[in-house]
Amino acid sequence: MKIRRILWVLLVVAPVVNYAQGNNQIGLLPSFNLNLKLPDDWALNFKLESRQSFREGKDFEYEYLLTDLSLAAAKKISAHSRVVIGYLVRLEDEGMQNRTVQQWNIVKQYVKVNLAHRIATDQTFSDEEAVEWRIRYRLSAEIPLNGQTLDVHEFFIKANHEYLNSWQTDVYDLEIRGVGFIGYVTSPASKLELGLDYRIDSFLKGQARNRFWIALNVYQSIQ
Amino acid sequence: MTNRPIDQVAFAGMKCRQLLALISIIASTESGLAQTKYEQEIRIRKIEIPKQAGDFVEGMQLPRKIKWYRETGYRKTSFEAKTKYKGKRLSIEFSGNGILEDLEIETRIKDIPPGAYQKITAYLRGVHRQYTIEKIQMQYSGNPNSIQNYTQHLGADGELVLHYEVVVAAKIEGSFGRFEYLFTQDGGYVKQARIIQKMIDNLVY
Repeated sequence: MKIRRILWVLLVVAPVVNYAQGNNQIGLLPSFNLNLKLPDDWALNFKLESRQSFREGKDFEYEYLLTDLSLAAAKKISAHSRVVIGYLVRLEDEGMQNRTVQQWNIVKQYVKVNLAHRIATDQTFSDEEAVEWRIRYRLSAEIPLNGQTLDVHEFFIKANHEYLNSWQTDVYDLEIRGVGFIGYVTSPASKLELGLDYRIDSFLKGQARNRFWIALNVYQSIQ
Repeated sequence: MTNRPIDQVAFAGMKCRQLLALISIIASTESGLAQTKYEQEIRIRKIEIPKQAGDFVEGMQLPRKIKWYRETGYRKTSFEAKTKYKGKRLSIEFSGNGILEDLEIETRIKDIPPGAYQKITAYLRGVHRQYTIEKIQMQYSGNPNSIQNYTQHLGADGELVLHYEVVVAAKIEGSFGRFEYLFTQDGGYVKQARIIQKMIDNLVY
């Protein structure tokens, strides 16, 4: 019950309160994730993600924002944890950004819940701006809606909570993300998720920026 | 007699190799099934279980709520009743037609007799250079009446057969995984199965 209350506050109450305070952006965030399993506990992950906005401030207007393409290599370092290094290209109308990513994560299965911790660092490079350095932590919980384990043709809920610390030419900012999904296991190697991805930043110095993304994620794994 | 062009011969050879590869994959998968464990579990209502299984669990007079599951593995379907008893997770497994298979009770290392535990760890050390024991269950099988009595009186009679089911996280042949071992009451090895990991990409990336 406690977990449900916390999720309710993080995923529903906080976004609604912040939405009422203005400076909001609402949009779509679809992504496709292809994972290729390799021998010796290696895996390659390709991700395509796009952002489109249909409301900024008080104006309703469709606007294509960006597309991210990323490739990551993961290596299991224990039965439950792995290290990942990756490279991301962000394509925007204004130009291109490059990002290098390093992460460590641990995924553990408990009775009725899968919990995942992710600690990641990344560095973003572009021609116009100074390098942005980030360090982030994400906690994810995946709860099957039928039975104690998540199986094929079963719905689940997933919640993420993430803190992103960023530094760019001595300017520090903190972004907090809360994500709630309803998901479905379509096959042993694929999952679908639909939900709301809420992000708040710039609140340390000045007016907060709230972003609400309706996210649709497709995950496909190849053995 | 006409000569077949070289590319046709090569194509036929390639198809033959692909077919052989496919056969070998299927053959290796089939033989691998004996050493892997995959279960799909669905919560079901009591009216969906065989009457025999329902009656048996009712006869155990367990104080807490019973949850029923249907488990589908590679080769069989079974029914499982899960509950908590004296603070420990307990599950009673039945075959597809409701015949009792075993009773499993989650336990701690300190509850295993030292001699049996030493034998278990010695075996695991021999197979895995590094391992972590994640879960241990006492698995009781044998006379169904004795199993019913066990939960009612917290004691085992001579008609109960005890095994230890041990889930281990370890590395074997260059890759990490989780394994389910079965040991006898004295710690003797019975069998091992690799637990098939379910897709977790959406928690990693």
